[in-house]
Amino acid sequence: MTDLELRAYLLGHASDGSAARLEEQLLEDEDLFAALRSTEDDLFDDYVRNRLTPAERAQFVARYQGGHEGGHEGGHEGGHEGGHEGNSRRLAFARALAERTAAPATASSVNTASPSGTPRMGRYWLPLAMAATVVMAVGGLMLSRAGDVSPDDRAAVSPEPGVAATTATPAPTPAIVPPLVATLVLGVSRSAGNVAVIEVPASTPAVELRVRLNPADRFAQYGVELRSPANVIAWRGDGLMAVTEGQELVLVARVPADALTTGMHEVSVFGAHANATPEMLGFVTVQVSRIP
Amino acid sequence: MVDELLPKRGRDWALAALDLERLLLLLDDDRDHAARTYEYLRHRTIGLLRWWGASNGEDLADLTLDRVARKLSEGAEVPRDSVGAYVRGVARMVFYESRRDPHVQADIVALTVLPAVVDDGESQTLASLDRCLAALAEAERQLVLRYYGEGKAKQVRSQLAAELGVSATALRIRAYRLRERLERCVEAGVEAPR
Repeated sequence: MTDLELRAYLLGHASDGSAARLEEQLLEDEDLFAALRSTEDDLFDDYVRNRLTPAERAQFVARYQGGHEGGHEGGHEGGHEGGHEGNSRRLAFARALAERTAAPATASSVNTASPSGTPRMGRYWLPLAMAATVVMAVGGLMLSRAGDVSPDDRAAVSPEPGVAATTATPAPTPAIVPPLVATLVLGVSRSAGNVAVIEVPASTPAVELRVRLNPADRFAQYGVELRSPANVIAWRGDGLMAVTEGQELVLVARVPADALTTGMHEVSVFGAHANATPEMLGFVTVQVSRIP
Repeated sequence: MVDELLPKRGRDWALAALDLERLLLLLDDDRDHAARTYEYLRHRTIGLLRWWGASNGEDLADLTLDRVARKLSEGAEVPRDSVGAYVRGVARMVFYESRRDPHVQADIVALTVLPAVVDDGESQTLASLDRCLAALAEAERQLVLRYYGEGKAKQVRSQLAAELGVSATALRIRAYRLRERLERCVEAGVEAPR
């Protein structure tokens, strides 16, 4: 059984016959079962590292994050660990593993417990700790349905249009230092005029875009598309999920810093329910400055 | 050991014990080995049911194996090399029946309408992963970080297998077992952070 065949089964495009044969074999063969699980782990890793093709991403989302039946025969909603919760845990683990293995000098810098039992910080955190945590609040028009948001609330996140409130604070050696965080508010059209300014230091591995959504805009999944100054898709994230923060609904997209060049970028956000056409939720223009 | 495998609910215990004996005999002539084989089979059946979308894979796996054992007692003839196919067939029936069960349907509906909202616990997961990695032996830690690291997986893994003097399959299973341990450790750490 090849890795490709196992992936095909997991992504739900194996034929019913070959899926049935595989399932019969894996009930008898512990090594095959482990191989399938291992392939599934690789799929989770590839998903969080954006290494799946668009078609594979869609299949992965339908299989592991969708709330509907899919795949062959019995449907594939749950995944091995038991439904949404198990898959969320596995995604969180895959993200953490990706982050850990992506760090420079990873193999030698994993924390080891100090004699007191308190984990010591690895050296590779220093550049990240030195990188300021930049939080940007960008003014902009709220979505047409944003009437639900109180004026006070709006004022808190939306200063003068086009003005970016930038605060740099050194990270006090926390366990985790977010590389760069930019909070964005969507506009309803490309000409809404709101421009966010993001300064990206060379040492920053990624920019975490935190897009405040209209609380009414709850979808099964979200997508973010980032267009470069040359108007080509520089990065795209699918199958993203929103996070509730207090009363807010926030979509978090971690964009590799390599995808960002100096110049104007356009961020588009869309939401989709399973098996439905994605719905565009809004845009925001981002002026990126790469700092050497 | 066999007593621990007996279903804790449902049919008469003594009858179930007889059924189970037949299943164990089908799995292996050696009783203790058969009990271990049963546990592996149960584990894989749980996995299969969950791949199909069952949120209660453990319960359904128990129902499946209970039913297989009963059918053997009723005279079903299953060649030893067809156990997988037979169990899969029964598991499918159990799975489909469970979907008609209104309680299970309610569970599925509840999953379907869950909002796509997750806890913002990534930093906690990463911190827990660090602790769990630190608890591994150095060789195991290196293996995990290289096997699941960035770069071209195929090349990295081939090189790693060559260095360790093991086959690609053996390396894959070793890495998978380590990852399983790590995931369990991380999960425990996130639930009860130190």
